[in-house]
Amino acid sequence: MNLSLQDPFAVAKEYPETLVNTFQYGHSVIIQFNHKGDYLASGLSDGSIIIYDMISNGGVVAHLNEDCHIRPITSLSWSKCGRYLLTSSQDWYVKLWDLSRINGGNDYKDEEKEFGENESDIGKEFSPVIRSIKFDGPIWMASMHPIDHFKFTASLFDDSPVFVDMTDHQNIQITKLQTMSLSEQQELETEDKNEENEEEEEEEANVKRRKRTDKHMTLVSTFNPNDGNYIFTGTSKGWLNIIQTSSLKTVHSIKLTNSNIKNVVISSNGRKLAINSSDRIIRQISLPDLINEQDPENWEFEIDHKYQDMINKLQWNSVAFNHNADFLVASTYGHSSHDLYVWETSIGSLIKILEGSNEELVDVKWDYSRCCIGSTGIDSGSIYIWSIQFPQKWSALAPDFVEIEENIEYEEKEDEFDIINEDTLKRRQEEEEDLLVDVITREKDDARGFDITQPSFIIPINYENQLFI
Amino acid sequence: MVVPVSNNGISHSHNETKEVLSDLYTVKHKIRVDSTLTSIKISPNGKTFTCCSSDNIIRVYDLVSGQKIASLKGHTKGISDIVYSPINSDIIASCSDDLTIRLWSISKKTCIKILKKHTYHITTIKFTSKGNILISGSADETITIWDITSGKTLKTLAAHSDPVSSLSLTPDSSIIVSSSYDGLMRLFDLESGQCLKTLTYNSTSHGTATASTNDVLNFPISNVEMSPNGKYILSSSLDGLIRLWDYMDNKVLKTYRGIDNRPISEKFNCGTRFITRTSNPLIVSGSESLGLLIWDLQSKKVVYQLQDSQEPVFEVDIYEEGKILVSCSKDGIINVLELNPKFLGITHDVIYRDDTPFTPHDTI
Repeated sequence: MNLSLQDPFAVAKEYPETLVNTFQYGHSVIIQFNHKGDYLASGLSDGSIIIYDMISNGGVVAHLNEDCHIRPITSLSWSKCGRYLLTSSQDWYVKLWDLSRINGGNDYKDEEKEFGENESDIGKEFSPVIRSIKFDGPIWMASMHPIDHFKFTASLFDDSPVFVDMTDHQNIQITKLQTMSLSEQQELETEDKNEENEEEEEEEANVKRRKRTDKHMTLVSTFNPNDGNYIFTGTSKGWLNIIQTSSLKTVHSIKLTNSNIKNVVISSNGRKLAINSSDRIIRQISLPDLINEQDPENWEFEIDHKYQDMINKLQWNSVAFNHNADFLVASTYGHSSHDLYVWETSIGSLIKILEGSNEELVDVKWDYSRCCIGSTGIDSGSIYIWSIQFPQKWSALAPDFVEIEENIEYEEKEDEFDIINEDTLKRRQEEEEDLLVDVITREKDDARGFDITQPSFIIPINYENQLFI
Repeated sequence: MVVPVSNNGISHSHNETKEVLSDLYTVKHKIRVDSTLTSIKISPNGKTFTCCSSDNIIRVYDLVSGQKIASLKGHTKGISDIVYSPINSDIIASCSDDLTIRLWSISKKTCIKILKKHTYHITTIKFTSKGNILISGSADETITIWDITSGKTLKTLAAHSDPVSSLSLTPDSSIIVSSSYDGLMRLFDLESGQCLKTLTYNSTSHGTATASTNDVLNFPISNVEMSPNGKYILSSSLDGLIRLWDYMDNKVLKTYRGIDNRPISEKFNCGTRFITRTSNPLIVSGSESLGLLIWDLQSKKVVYQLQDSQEPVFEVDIYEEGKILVSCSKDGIINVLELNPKFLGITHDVIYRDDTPFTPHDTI
């Protein structure tokens, strides 16, 4: 509600401009804002997680350091409601946190049973980690299903990507996904059929197959944000594979580049896709309508823009869209560059370079509703926050003053110095007060147009202990 | 006990007798304490209520039985205000003339944190809806914003030129409204600490603009309360009136008066609340000598009065939009009232975790 009283021109700004804050608890390697944008989770290099409250300028709400990871965090993923957090780490584990169980749980403890948690679960000394899965190696990234917080997809180091359903904690289902592109898979299938007939060629085919799978790894995997019906994976050979979540079969593949795909970022409205690859190019792609156009054959992936730094040939570390995919921000690799680049996505022009950090920035994320950008510094592990600063209106302090751009000649109003007798005044006042006042109906959107009616989980506070970090 | 507004008293005012709802509330408990009770609050889960007093004691009661559960001692001077954590009904914060803010655990009956920064009496405190930020207003003319997890101050707002009397927050906790004896209400952005707006009611607001600043008289504002949708502010000032403001428009929309146009309060800070659980929204306030008063929000008429004595009623609080109402007074009387089910309207806010303790939902 504060926005409606701020300078409307400042509120209308669509991307942040100034470095306003630096959070410095622990060495942060990865960050993620929750969907409402009021909390920021920060994964530390020691495997613990810090949750900041964005409202209190970076007050720490929680430090998840029990049952946590023991090696650097590689990814963080919030559930839409803001209650669950999925974390992956180099320590081979993926963990699902129920944030209602941290800091003593508070009032939410009573509700626990209603949420259908198993008795044995509660017996586990109320650990906030409600699911924990160990893989055979470090995890590149894990991404939570946008609707069901018990499902996720993960890309693993030197292994096939997986889709995991951990609804039942005693029967966690892990399904391996294909790294091979659709055409290769089909080729292989036909070869397999041929093999049955011509056994003598078997050896040759095996060699071929080995060659094909050689060092072809899926590096990133993520869901499409709206319904989670498709998994987008990016491979080390520049393939973008789209896998249907219901069948877990590859339904579409496109070769975008010859080098590693480092990031696959889909805008929250599901319209645009950004692919960051090690050929120093960010490819921005318009996504087809995945909901209404069911046949993958008809999908077209058109590259709108390629973003690259022609002069310095910079690598991009990480990319992020704003809420409506009108803007794209990227962090740059290398010790010489400390800036974030912001592009306007319709014409692809660079509109802002965010400066202020004095180190290389790695992870970058956009807080949609608060219109700020967070990024982690590689050396210090600090989190830098760029935001929009509102100018102080000094006339706000004195109700009878108005700020004007330039001098104006004051024109006296006709009735300005009239003396009105008290009865008339009183009557006028009474009349004015006859209106019906609605004190109940709330605004549905804030001044930036974000829906504010959606409830979001409030993380319990530990009132008794002081967090010393 | 329950004193309906008498016909006699009404005839002189513009109120109409038929508007009086003498059975609006029924008294569930009446508790007498041998001390001046300065503030009363109902816990967010509706299980307990807490009262603080000038004898340095915080008393916690069971809402259903009215039995005392705990007495919290630690403050060395009178306590002006208490507030429950919105996310944890076991935690309350209190502020006192001894310059400290204390956080208490009711179940452990101990003080768990002391916040110290103010240099003069702390008059009022509020939690933000997420329960991690506490805002305090003091007679040292500042407002301090505290981060509870670290125990540090986030900001100190040099807000007023007289003691801060009351604070209120919008439902999204983004704006703080403060009122002061300097006659101003200021709206602050919680996050940036910037002053967004100042409201004042003076002789120039209605009438001519010829009055020089010397003629302008700002009555001290003793209490502010934000409407449930955060669009309007209810201000009580020591000219004995309560006003409903549209702060976007800087306009007074309604003015509420005591029975027979008598002042509501000219000396004391009496708390107000919006009751929206009834079919027509109401406003409840304590008063200096008229007991507890309830107005129809739209018609501005007094519809209910509860008067135990001539002593001031300092604070009122509601649960479930007014289904339960509590009040405390200078002479130590606590009233716990339940809304008569026949006046129930629709609920607007369905985020309550428990039903009203007295009458379960299915019996209505």
